[in-house]
Order: sequence, then C-alpha cells, then structure tokens
Amino acid sequence: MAVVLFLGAFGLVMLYSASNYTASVRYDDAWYFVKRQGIALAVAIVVMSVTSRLNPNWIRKANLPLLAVSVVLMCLVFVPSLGVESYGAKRWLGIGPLSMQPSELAKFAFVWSAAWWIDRHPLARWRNQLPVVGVGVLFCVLLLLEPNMSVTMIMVGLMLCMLLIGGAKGKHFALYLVPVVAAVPVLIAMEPYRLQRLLAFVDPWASPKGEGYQLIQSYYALGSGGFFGVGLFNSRQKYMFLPFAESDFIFSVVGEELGFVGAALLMAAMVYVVYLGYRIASSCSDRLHALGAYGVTTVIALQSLLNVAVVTGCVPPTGVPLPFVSYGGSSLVCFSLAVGYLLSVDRINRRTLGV
Amino acid sequence: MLKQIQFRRRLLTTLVAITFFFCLVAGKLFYVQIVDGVSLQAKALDQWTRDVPLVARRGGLYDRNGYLLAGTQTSYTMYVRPVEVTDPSSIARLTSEVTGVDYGTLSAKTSRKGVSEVTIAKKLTHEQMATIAASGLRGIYFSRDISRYYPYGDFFSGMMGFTDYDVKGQTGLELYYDDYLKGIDGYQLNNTDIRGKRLDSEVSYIPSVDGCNVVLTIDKSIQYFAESAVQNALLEYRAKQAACIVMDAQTGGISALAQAPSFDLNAVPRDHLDALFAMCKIGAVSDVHEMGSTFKILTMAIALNEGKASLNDTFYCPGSREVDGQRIKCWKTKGHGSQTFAEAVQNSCNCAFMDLALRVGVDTMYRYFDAFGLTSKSGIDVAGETSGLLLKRENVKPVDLARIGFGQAIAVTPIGLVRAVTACINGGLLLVPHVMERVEDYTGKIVKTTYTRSTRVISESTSATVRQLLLGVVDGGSGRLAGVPGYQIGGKTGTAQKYKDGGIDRGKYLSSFIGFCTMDDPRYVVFLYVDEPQGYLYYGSQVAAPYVGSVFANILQYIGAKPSVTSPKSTFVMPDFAGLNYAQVLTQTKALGLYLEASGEGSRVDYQFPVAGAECEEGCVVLVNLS
Repeated sequence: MAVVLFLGAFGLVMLYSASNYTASVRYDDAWYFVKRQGIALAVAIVVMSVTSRLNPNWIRKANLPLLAVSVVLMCLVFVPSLGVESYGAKRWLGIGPLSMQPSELAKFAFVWSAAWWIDRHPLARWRNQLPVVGVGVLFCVLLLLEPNMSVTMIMVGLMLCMLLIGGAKGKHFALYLVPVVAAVPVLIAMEPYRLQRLLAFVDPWASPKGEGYQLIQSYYALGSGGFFGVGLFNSRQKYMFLPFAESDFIFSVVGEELGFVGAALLMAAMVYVVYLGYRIASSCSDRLHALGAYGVTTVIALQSLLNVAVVTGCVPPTGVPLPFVSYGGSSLVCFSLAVGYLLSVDRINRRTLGV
Repeated sequence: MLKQIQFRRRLLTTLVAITFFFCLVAGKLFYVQIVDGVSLQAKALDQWTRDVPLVARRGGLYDRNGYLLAGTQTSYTMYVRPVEVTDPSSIARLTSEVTGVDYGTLSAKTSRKGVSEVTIAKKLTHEQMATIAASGLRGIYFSRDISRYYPYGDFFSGMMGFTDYDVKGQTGLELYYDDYLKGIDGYQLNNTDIRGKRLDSEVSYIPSVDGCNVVLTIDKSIQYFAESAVQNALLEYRAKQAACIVMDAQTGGISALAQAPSFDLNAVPRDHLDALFAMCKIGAVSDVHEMGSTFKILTMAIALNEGKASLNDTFYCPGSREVDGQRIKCWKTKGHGSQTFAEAVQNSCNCAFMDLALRVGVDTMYRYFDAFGLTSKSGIDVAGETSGLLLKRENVKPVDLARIGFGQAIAVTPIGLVRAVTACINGGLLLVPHVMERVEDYTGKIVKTTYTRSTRVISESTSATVRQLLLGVVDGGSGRLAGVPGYQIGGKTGTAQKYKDGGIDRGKYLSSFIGFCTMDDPRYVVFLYVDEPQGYLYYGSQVAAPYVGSVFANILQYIGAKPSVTSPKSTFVMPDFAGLNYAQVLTQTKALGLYLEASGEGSRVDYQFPVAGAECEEGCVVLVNLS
C-alpha cells in the first residue's frame, strides 16, 4: 500500500515536472495535467481504500458482468459519437469532459474472469483452456481494431501467463505459440506503419524526424541524465522535444532528471510491487484469489515492463502508460482498483493465518 | 497438494522471468544513460539551443607607417514599428536634433500607419544611436550593420581588393589574407523549446575573436605618388593601362603598386563585371611582356659579371647586325657608329647588346635567367602571378639569342623584371617581392612576418658598374626626363613593340622606364609602364620617364634626401627643326646639350616634340620624325 501510494505521489511530482511547460503552452496552465491527475489520484485512493476493505469475494459475482461491460465499452469505442479518435486510433470513450480507456478495465476483467474459470476447471485438460483462450482472442481482436498494439501485446502475455498458472502443459504452449508468431507478418501486412516502427526500432537514426523520432528523443533524455541526472525539474527534453513526456515517456524524464540511479530505483520499486503482489498470491489459501492476485499482479508487471522496455528502446515503440506514474485517470483508477483487491486478499490471508 | 506446489513453482517462474526482463531493461538503460550518455547529450545539446552568430570584427589593413587603408565600421539603422509607437512627434523631433534631418520629413515617416516597419535613419553612429535609444520612446528599434570602408577610396584598389556583402574577402589582399583578417565568429547560445522560442534570459556566449591586422610594406605617400603618376599617364596618352611598381631595393618590400584604370573601393562598380574583373587583375604580376630595352640591364649585368665585357670595350653599330643570315636592325637604322660601352648603354644600341648576348652564350644567359628568377614566379603575395615566357633552351638559335640581348624573344612579368633589375643595382642580391610586412593579432602580438631571403646573383662590383652605367642614361642619355636635379638617379628606358598573333601589332607599344634612386644609396626601384599609348609619342624616354621623374622627385622630397650635386638647370626656347636633315638637327641639339631621338625613315624633319617655341629645360629629350 505504502509503495503504491509513494509511486502515485512520485508520479504526480514527475508529472508536474514533465508537463508544466507543455501544459502552460497548450492550456495556458502549468498545472493543467497535475490538477486532473490529482483529482484522479484522489478518486483512486478512495477506490483503493474501499475495495481493500471489501471482501474480495465480490469478484466471484462481478467478474462476468465486468467482462461483459468491458466488451460493450470496447465496442462503443467504434461508435462515432462516443469514440474519441486520437493519433489514428480509437481508444478512448468521451463522456462530457471525462474520457476513459475501456482497455484499462478489460485487462483486469479478463484476469478475474479467467481466475474464476480456472478455479473451477483446471487447465490441465485441453478442453478447459478454450474459454480462456476464446475471451483472450476476442479482446485481442477488438484491441487490434482500435488499433492498440501495446495492450494487445499485454493481453497476449496475460493469456499465456494465465494458461501457465492454470496448469496448461508444455505441448499446449507450443501449440499456442504458432498462431502468435504467425500473427506478426499478418499484422504488419494489415498496417504498413508497423513495419516502419519495427525498422525505426532497429535503427532510429535512419529517420530521426520520422518514425525514429520518439525513440531518439527518449535516448536524448536518458543520455543527458547520466548517473545522477540533471536534477528534479531541470529536464530540457520536456520542452516539447519529447513527445508524450507526461504519459508514455514519463520514464525518460525520470531518467533525465534523476539519472540512472533514480530510474533504476524506480524500476526496483516496480519489481518490489510485483514481488509483493506475488507474495500475496502465493500465501493465499483460496485458489480463486490466489489466481486473481497472480493475474492482477501480472498486469502490473507486464505493463510496467513494456513501458520501460519501449522507453529504453528494447522493443519497438508503442504507447503504453507506466502504472501509477504516467498521466491518465482511467489507468490510475483501474490500477488502484486492482491494488485495492490485492490488499483485500492480503487482509483475508492475514486473518486466516491469525486464526 | 500437487496443484499447490505446481502453482507456487509456476508463480515463482513468472516472478523470476519478469525480474530477469527488468534486469535486461536496466542493462539497456545503463548502456543508454552511461555508456552512450556523453555522445547522446552532445547531440541533444544541439537541438536545445539556437545559436546567433556574433560576427568577429574584421582586421584592418595598414600601410607601413600605421595608416589605416581598409577598416571595418559599424553603423546603425533606425526604424520604428508603427503599432508600438505612442509619440511619433517626439521621435521625429529627437531624431531631427540628432541627425540634422528636417523635422517634417521625419514626422511623416514616424506617423505612418499600416506597415510593420518604417526605416527612419540609416548610417547612424554609435553615439547617435545611444542618444536616441536613451530617450526610452516606445517603438524604436535599431539594427547593426557592418561594412568595410577604405579611407582613401580610389587608391591601391586592384591590389587591395574588396569584400562581399557578408564582409568576406572577395579579391586582392582582402581575399589573400582573408584567413588572418576574418577572425573567428562567436556564438550566442539561447536555450529554446522545440519551436525555437527562447526559454530564459540566461544566455551563454562563445565570444568572437577579432581578426588580425595586416601591416603592408606599402607606404601611403609613395603609393599616392605612384597613383597620381599612372592616373595622369593614362589620361595623357589615352593608354590601355598604366602601372607603377615601387620596390624597396634592400628588402624586396613593395612600397607602392599602382595601376590605372582603377575604381573606388567604397563604391565598387559591380554592375560592369567585365570591366571590374579587368581592373582587379594585377597586370604587374599576371601579364608577361617583351620588355625591350629595359631588359638590356640584365644583359649588361650578365656580360659584366661573366667578364665577357668591360667598360673599355667599344662597339660599332652600322644600324644593323646580320646573325644566321638574318638582318636585325638597330632601333636607329642609320647606326650609332663607334661607341664605348657607356655610350652604347646611353644610346640603348641594339647592336651592342646583340654582341654582348652572343659573347655570353645561350647556356650562361639561361643560367642567369634562372638565377634572376625569370623562369619561375617571384613569390609575391598577390594572387594570379605567372612566370616568364622563354623560348626552350634547346630551340634558341643565335638569331634568337641576339634578340634576347635587347629584350625581344623573351617575355617577363613587370614584377619579375623589377625583381631582377633590383638585384642588378642593390649589390647583387635577388630578393622576394612582398606586400605583407607583418600580421598582428588584436592584442598587437605579431603572428606572422615575411621571411626575407636573398640569393646572390652578381657580384657587388658588377652591380656598382651597372649602377654607374645606368646613371649615365639618366645623366646624359635617353633617361634624362626621369632625372631629378641634384640627385644621382640611374635608369633605363624601354619601348617595346607589341605582338599579336605572332606578328608585330603595328602602332602598339609598351613604353616603360625602370630606374633607381639614388646612386650612393640605391633604396627604391621604380618601374612605370604605359601600355598602348595613343598618339605620336610612344618612346619610353618621353612617355614613361617624365612620370618616373615626378615619382622620384616626390619620393626624394618625402624621405628628405639631400641633393648631392647642385646643378640649377636653365631654360631655353626650343628652336624649329622643320625641314632640316638628321645631321643638322644633331649638330644643333648637341650644341644645346639636348638628347635627340629620331624616328621615321625619311631625310627631313616633319614633326618635332617639344614643339618649336616651347620653353624647355636644359638637357631635355627632343623627338623628331623624319620623312
């Protein structure tokens, strides 16, 4: 709990640093992003506090409705009057001044419902795996239609992890790997820009003004940071050089201002959160919640990993926010819901042990 | 229970895998931040800043005594932005007070509306700008203009050269020494966002380094004497070109190099590029000419130095020599008769110099041409120099050698001739002509000097003999008009026919005179030539010598040389020679102590200069034409 709150508060500080210039230029208000994120953080804390006090068994009943709501919302994205298109993708739902990304919710809905299913139908049998895979593929298709490559990748990862923890056998994995690998050329053929991204990742300097721009700017930020960084609030890359400095590339600003030491500590904190989540999962005697805690933690783990991997140029650039830190209300609220759930499971564990 | 174990094992697997991937990313992070950090930061710095160049002040060109010949000035242009102006009449009143421009005119400009900027005044000095700026009136802006200016305007023009609109050297010395003059531009680095908008008031400067000053060997006064001589000669003879080189006989430094026609450096005529190009070309270093009689100085020096001739030798001139079965005429077709060496030099007798060249022989002559530097460039620091044009050694027949003896069949540059003749009269040392004396940086520290080297070509005693012989030319020969009363000046005239397409270009001459002052202290060598003079007069003795005389007179007065001999010259009235034959005219002129030059193939005088009745100085040159 303390680590997550720390990450949220740290995120707010970094968000101010990363966004104040852009915000004052675009919205004439240096605190624009911080105000909105502050409200989201307040909501997130409330959500987290409430869910942590609930009996985690609510997911027993809620998982299927949540799954249904997710699917509906993800479909609504494509309704012209409701979906908000941005940077060529329909990922947001706009309701008045608020906007949200249904895919944020979808990840958790998927792991909970998968946990619920696996709890009752162990996956050692091939037949039992089909609903998990089916729902996962459905989400992937919807996400690809948006298109949202990053969440699709996370979803694929989640699917595989849930299969793994559910007891699927090695030969099953071999079977699933075939379509995943086969999907790569198909996806590239569908949208040629993906190949450009892939090439830009291999050599960003080939197109410094085009596809390689984001990665190069991220490199500039990180490279300028060195060991100890240029100091909090002193980033130069945030002056509109670095795109999405407040969200997807906030880790670059951390690296620039706080250096390798700061960035590595932040990564260590993430790994610590993941460790705590898995410890909760492992010490849970209730199989459903063990699986649920595992799934939720894996969401946090995979998304954090993907974000830092993109920012450091380990994988091709794709837009994914850093949990708890990046700007984005729906992401923050959903993750706090997940953490709240983890805390409630932890509470149950302690009670069981105490008895 | 088995399931529980499998669950924990697989959970642990996931944790380890995720931690492993995080470690990989951390490794990449380390690589980007630490290993590649410095080079990335350097690239990033490039995009964070916009640099405004701070133009270095271009160095000046100075004469040897420190007079500025080319400098850089800063002026200011004042303009207003009408939308910001609150008090147009005050601006107009103040500007009127400062600049003296009529208030009404300025008021009309300051109250203009509907344009973004109005220029109010140009070429303001720093003080004027500061006064106006101090008023604090709103809407006034200044821009800084840097321009090159030349205090003497049409002076040393082609040699000096000029700069382009960015004040970069374009021609002449401005180009030749551009690397020293230009300095190093500095930069003002502004931190900007991606659109180039400045972020803060903090500005870092990389200061500019002012250019070096180049001090020339040119003496402003001597250059002025040479300038006026060539300008007047050009006008008087409506010639194609006139040029004058004054060289320091002891150092090789060029004291003056004037060329006409020329142009005003402060108003370069860029509209007529062909003409401008021609005026920028320094003929003194880039053109080769058959020099004619001035070249005889070299022939006599070589013959004397080789012991092939002595002052006791006599030469007989029947008016022509036959070499290899070819008749080569002396300029005086009637012949000079029997002459001493000194008389042959005074008469500039071609036959005598043919004899000398043939006596020395082609191998020795060519060896000396190499030693005098005629076969290579002199090394002067002026762009576009060429070397002399000589017949191939193996192709030189005796008839060619005979012609070379009196300055034909060999073409050299004026600077090459000056250099060689200087070696003949300064004691025998060949010097490297140069224009740059030294280069000083802005603190006054000398960063470059001309390395003067000299090589001996002829002996000191030969040189003394040559001086003596040349003294006779000015004292009692064809060079009289170059003389300055009371001073011992030596020299030699030259009148060369010009060639075109392998044949004689009729009526086109290069009239020249080369001389030195003075006998005891040979300090300056002056060479003046008039290319294609128009009219009856074309002899070097009459066209070039008088102007060299004026240059010598001015120089001697300028350096404060004491006259060594006092011989007040009397004047007389020129008699009329019309209708007389050559012998009669010669008798009369000898009686009057005049030097006679005759042209034409006829028997009777039909034209004379100076004309009859003119008041002339004793010892002047008279030209008669026989028809």
